[in-house]
Amino acid sequence: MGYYLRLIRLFIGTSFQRETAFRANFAISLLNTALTLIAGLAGVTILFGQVKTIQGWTFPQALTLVGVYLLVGALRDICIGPSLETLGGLGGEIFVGGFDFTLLKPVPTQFLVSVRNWRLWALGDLTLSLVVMGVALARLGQALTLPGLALFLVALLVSMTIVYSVLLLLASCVFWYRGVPLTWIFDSLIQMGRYPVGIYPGWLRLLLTWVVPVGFITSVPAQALTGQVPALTLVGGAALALGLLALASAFLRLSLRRYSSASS
Amino acid sequence: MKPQIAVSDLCKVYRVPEREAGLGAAVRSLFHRRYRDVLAVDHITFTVQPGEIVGFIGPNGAGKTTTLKMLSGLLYPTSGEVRVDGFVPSERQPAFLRRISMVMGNRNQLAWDNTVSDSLYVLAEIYGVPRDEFGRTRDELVELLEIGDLLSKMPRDLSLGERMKCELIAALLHRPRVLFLDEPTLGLDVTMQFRLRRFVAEYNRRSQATVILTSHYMADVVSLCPRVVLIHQGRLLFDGDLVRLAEQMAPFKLIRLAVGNGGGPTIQNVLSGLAQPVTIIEQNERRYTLRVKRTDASPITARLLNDLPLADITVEDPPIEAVIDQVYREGVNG
Amino acid sequence: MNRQRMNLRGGWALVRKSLFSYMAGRGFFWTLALGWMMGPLVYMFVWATAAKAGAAGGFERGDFVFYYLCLILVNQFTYPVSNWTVGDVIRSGSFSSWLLRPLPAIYEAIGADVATKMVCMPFSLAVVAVLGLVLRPSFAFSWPAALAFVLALLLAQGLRFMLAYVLALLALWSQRADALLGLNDTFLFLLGGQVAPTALLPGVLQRVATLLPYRYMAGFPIEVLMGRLTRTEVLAGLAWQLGWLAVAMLLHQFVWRRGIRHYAAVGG
Repeated sequence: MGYYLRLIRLFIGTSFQRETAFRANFAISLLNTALTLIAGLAGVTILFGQVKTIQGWTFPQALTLVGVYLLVGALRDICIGPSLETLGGLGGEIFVGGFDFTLLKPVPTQFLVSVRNWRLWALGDLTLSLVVMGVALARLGQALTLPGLALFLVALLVSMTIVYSVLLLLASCVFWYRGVPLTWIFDSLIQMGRYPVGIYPGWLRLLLTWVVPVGFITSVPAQALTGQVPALTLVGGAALALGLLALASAFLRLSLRRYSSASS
Repeated sequence: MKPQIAVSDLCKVYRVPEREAGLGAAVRSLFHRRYRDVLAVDHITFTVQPGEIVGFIGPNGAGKTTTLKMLSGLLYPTSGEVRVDGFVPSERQPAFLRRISMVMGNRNQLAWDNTVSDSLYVLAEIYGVPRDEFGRTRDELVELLEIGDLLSKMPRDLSLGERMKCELIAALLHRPRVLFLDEPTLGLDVTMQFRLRRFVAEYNRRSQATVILTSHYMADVVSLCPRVVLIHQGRLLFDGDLVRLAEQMAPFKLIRLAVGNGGGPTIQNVLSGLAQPVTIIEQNERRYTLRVKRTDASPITARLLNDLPLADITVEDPPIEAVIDQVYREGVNG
Repeated sequence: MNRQRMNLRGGWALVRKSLFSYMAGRGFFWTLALGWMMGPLVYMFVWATAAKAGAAGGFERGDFVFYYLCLILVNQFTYPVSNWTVGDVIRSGSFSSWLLRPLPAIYEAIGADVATKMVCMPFSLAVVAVLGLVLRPSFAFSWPAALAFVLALLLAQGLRFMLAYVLALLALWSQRADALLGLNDTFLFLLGGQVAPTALLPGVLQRVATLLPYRYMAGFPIEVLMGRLTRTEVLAGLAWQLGWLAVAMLLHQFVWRRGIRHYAAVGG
């Protein structure tokens, strides 16, 4: 266990050195964080300039959702996002040919490809998202209770497990269909999580809750924060998350076997 | 002694999609994919003892890299058996992976944007190299490779040769028992190639690590590998001493001479007066290249020295590239 | 300018070359197209739901659906790819080979742009057609509006392409010029009619949107098509488009000359 923790610490260190090698990186990250924030807030602000509620959600509630959306994005960008991008994103290992070296390492492949790249600048995004959520909660006039916080953290854990599983699935697909950097698809679909899942028509809502659980990823933690989530939903979500995790890990193993059977 | 690498009846078959040119074929391929089976490695059998340096040679696409990948566990064999150091490579057990290492000529494992020493440190941790041993091994390799202070630089700022040296350190940090080198001298300048060969030979001598090398440069193979395995179209054509191969394939020698000034018979006269068969391969003013049978080389040379006013004369083995090229074209027979 | 100097044959060959190679990788491009339509889709659902109770800002539910379905197509038609086709080429050094050809470098960019759209358009049209059947947009057709739309659309494409091309050329100076892209995208998102039709933007933002070029790259042609603008507003908008296009072209000349000098001085 200590072996793995030591490796993670090392990976964080090397990623940090890489990021700070160029000063421009810092300014650019700052700029991107600001832009993400503006884009996130603008949509909701302009919308509620025209209407009072949407599908039963008020402005502060929608703001909470924006905060959770930004939080999930930031958490993803800290570790699993950059790591899996190195595997199967644009210009990833599989296309450029360095994946063999990853396979040769005496470290379980799933562990290696999931934690080897860190982007610590995302901590800034994380902080901002927490600020947004704080402001939203204040506007709701709701205090954060301990059970509420606990529920929120559980929902967040379920969320991130789902995010990791979906990203891993998509990254593994690259072994089968080498032309397309599929992690991009996730970025596109997660956009649908900026707004309450209820705004989508029935069939789409079902799709977004059970097939690509975007609804679980953002709406559920937001509702947990405002104390509106029934325990059954959380349990269902946890089951879904664990199921997806098992599926994704199995699919990665299958994809690795394929790679080793057919790489030329 | 028990062999370190044992390969028996190894086969690898690829399924390659067939696609023709043209729009019609492209549309058809959307619905009906046709595949072709390519036999990349065809029942190869050989063993390697610990500490040997073996060169794999063969034309492009012969199956050398495929074989190497099967030995390192990157590729699953279609059939046959492979055992490296007692392990089955495709199982990819961590204990096996810690004993081997691979260097690929056109690919880097070192992170582009981290200093070399940082990458080395991470590798030491990944392979579980104890701290003090890490320092010793690293320093030893740095000295052997004459790297100096490159360790504090980043691969993006290094030249190709410098990068390859750092790649070698990275590969040898955990003291593997088996080292796979896949075209390691690709793209390097002559000096660097020379230094690299010297390093590999010295490293093998000191550590007794087994080295499997593939290369297109015959100079690598000639200077490093007492034993070669020749693979052509997936089949193992020859396994043994390169010199023996040359003698077997091309049992002749080349005599290069330059005729000086002075009277006496012309070269044509002398040659036509010889009992042994001689072929003139090249002729450039007063310089000639003759091909004679190996056994005839001495007597013919003596006659030429005697009868002609020579400015220069050398007796050579045919260039190994020509021999190998002949093997690729005609196979190994007799 | 005679045919020979303009080398239209060469230009067309570039389009064909890009087209064939892109068609082979159409999975990649359709995934891209899918990504590009996500934003408009999300906002379509948002606004359509918002307008269920009653019109929002003068737009009914059916209007929003129509607006955003059009936005998907207009966005696809005008989406600039120069940052990858030109910017990456400059950063990787292959740009030098473009400079050696008897062809203005902009032809490569145009060729890649046209080819990308030709490959992506069928996918986007199919998706929009299906969505249109399911979601029932409301639309009133009129010939003057349609013709003005075509004109505005072509100008929008020209403007958006030109500006993106100039931004991509900044790579001739600086390795990290692509950071400006994020900024450009955010402006387009806010002011170009993506987060909401321009008419729905709050006061000061709306005024800024009328001045900056972003509205004229995407939102404006759709507003023209929907017939919500008066004659004067349409003409004013077209004038703004032409004006910004001229600015972009001047900027191009400037950036190109200085950029090439810098690129050649540094050694490419």
